[in-house]
Amino acid sequence: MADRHEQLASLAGLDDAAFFDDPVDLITYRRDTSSYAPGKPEGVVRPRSPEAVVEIIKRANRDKLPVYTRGGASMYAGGVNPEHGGIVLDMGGLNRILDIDLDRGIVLCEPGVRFGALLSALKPHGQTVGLVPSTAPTATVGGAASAHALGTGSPQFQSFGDEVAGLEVVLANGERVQTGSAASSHAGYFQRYCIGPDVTGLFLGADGTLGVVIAVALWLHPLPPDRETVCYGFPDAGSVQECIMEIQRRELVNNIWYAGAYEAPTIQTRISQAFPDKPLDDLPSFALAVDYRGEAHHIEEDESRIAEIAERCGGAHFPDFNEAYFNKLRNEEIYWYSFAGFFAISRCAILMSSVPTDKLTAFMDVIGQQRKNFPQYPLGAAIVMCRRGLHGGALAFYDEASQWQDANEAISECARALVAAGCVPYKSGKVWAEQVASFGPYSSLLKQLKKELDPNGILSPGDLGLATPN
Amino acid sequence: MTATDKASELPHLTNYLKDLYHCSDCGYCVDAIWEERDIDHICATLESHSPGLSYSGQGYIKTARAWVEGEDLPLASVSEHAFTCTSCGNCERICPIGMRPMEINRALRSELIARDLAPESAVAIQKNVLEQQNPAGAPRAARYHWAQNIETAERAELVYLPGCASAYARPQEAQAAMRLLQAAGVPVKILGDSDSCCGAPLRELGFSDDAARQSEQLGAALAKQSFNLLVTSGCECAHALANEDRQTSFAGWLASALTEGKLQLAARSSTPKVSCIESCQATLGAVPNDNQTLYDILGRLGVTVNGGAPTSRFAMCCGAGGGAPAMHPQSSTEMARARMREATAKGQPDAIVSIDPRCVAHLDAARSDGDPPVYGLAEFVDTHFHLSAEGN
Repeated sequence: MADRHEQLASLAGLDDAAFFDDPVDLITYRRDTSSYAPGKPEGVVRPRSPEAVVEIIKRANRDKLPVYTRGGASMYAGGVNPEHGGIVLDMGGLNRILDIDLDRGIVLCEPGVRFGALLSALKPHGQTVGLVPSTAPTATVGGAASAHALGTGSPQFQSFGDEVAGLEVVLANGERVQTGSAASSHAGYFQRYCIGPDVTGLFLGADGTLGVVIAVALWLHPLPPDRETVCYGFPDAGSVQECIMEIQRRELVNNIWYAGAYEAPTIQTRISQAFPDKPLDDLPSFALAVDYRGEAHHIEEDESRIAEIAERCGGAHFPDFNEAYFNKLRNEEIYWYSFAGFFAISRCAILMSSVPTDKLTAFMDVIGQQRKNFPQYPLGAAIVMCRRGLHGGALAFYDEASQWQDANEAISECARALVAAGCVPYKSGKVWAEQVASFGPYSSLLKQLKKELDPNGILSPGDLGLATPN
Repeated sequence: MTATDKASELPHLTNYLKDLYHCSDCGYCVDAIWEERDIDHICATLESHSPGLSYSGQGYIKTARAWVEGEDLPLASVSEHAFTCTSCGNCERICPIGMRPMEINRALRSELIARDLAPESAVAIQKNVLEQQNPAGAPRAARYHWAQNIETAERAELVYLPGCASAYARPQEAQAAMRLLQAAGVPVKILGDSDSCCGAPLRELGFSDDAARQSEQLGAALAKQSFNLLVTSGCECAHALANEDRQTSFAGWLASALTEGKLQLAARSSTPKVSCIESCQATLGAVPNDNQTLYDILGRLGVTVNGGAPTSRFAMCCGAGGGAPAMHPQSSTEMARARMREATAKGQPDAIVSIDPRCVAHLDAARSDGDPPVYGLAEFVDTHFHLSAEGN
């Protein structure tokens, strides 16, 4: 086998791909926005065509060279950090929108398309996509598919994966596979669940461990004509939990583009910033903030029902929080900055989990316990309502110059505690690898699939607790 | 991942330690797209020089951090990367948490300069400024050749400062500015032999001490003059002289003159259709954003602007800044070509206009056959309008 230098040199000579191995060029490809330890890439390849991706993967597989596929690297799970060296496959050059098919309601994109570009391209058609992550200006469609994006659209559509109609993937042996209805070369993308098992799902949230996504077909949705934001205040986490469960049971989520729950410190900070003279003592301990979008009369009906539910659960309209924060956040679309805003004080380690709605209080208890265990890190909670269940983020603010290692230990402990409380990993990458590997038969099946699809273990080794390179 | 003793050997970078450890890799300074904020990629270097992310604001921060953490970096490569930035400042404008990638890159440059690792072309610019008082190295004695046939006043209350770009690379702009000032009935004087480079080109390159001395030198020359208004054409000069409270840009002066009725302008023929190319320098620091002033003036004059009026705070750099034309002529020309393509994409204009003479000279040099002419603001007005003073 060629030595590493020769392996990299063979990639440097590829048509239709830029190659970098200068140490200064590699510095920027060591990590994503997570607190997870940076890796050490030996080269970066930036393909400009699917054919180039195939050739890169074939050569990497032949040479057993690890490949970490990277989109916008705006994820916070360390998935793209090349901890076993090898190359980073920078998909930013594959950024064409291949087709907007209004008849089928499908948009087909290359994986490096930024959400910002996608939304701009769809807007003139009066269309949008179901799920838009809060990292949208920099996040890529391929990254969202590979790492289970969430955010705007989660109440209505659940997860980014649920909005994928099909994929085109390059397997470790260099074979190109189209999934869903497009598996039949005459059909193209129009349905995901057909032919046989849902092969598309194999690659969603897989962090590039089973294949490299080179095209993503997404369902289109009409841009909603009207929008309104409303906030409700609650005395405690239990009452907001009851309220969300009732909303989900009655499926009053079809006109909710985004809904988040906010705890007391956030409420107090936002209110005191906007209304310095307001007393903070009688503020609610929890807020549920809802961004309704749809037809005005549907919004009105749903809002009225949800207000009733909130009241029954001990809540009430909370217009101050809406005015002070949430309306501005959503209507001025600064929620995309809110992701970065997490980092306004300091670097921030984020651990995303899926939380059953009936475990919201348990999730908050874990956060509370972690605050006691790690008082040196201001710890926050971010809660996003989904069609079913919740996404819960644990946020640890830390000084990267002096607390990086300790902060990662705190996040690891938090991960263990969340699983014990009934939550599960979301956006797994490497930060949840220990937990994913512990899920007995599931993990075992995952390993078998990995062995079959990537026998040399070259694709994103270490992610999801899967194989290191052979 | 912590700063080491190495940090004490890097005094320019240690000023930014907090930023180096706070940057969160969100990627806004790399290649963000956000229509509602008028953001569609922001880094001309990434677009036209190399797609390698280490050429971005994020890349400069990470490189600086690796250096202060004691990594054994190939400094020649660090130099090649650091001296590619055009200093447009988009990475700082877009950063949601107030990081300063451009300033950090300047600190990187200063560290490299201290180790004699600046590119020869950068050192040549330094030499040119120190010896000839302009970055191109044209003879100092030729600084006011453009004014040979223009009458100036010795006791005027208004000093016109063309800046190096207007004085040498785009003398038409300086001449036109003088004609407009005088058409408004304003006696104008110039510094003549005591004029010098404000130091902005050296500051961009990281020669911070030399830049400070240049600024002091020009300040001392101005201090010997009696005046109540200093009008500058160079956008980087306006930025460098931001502490001089009697200063205004030429665009600022023209807007005021039109508002106050001191200058009457009548179109020579039908008013042309133009595209505008924004100046990055005009959006830096404390100076007013004269890109908007340009749109306001053109609107007042009835000039049709391709693509409508609003200017983007994140317009892509034309490649004129940061010493790029001297250090990376090919990619800086490509940046200019990209801006010209963008400016003509919504229909062929009769002219392209910018308030920044440095941009005008650079764009003009990059023009191809069939491209519209490129004008500075003063040139454009002088060419397309009859000038007269109040009441005439």
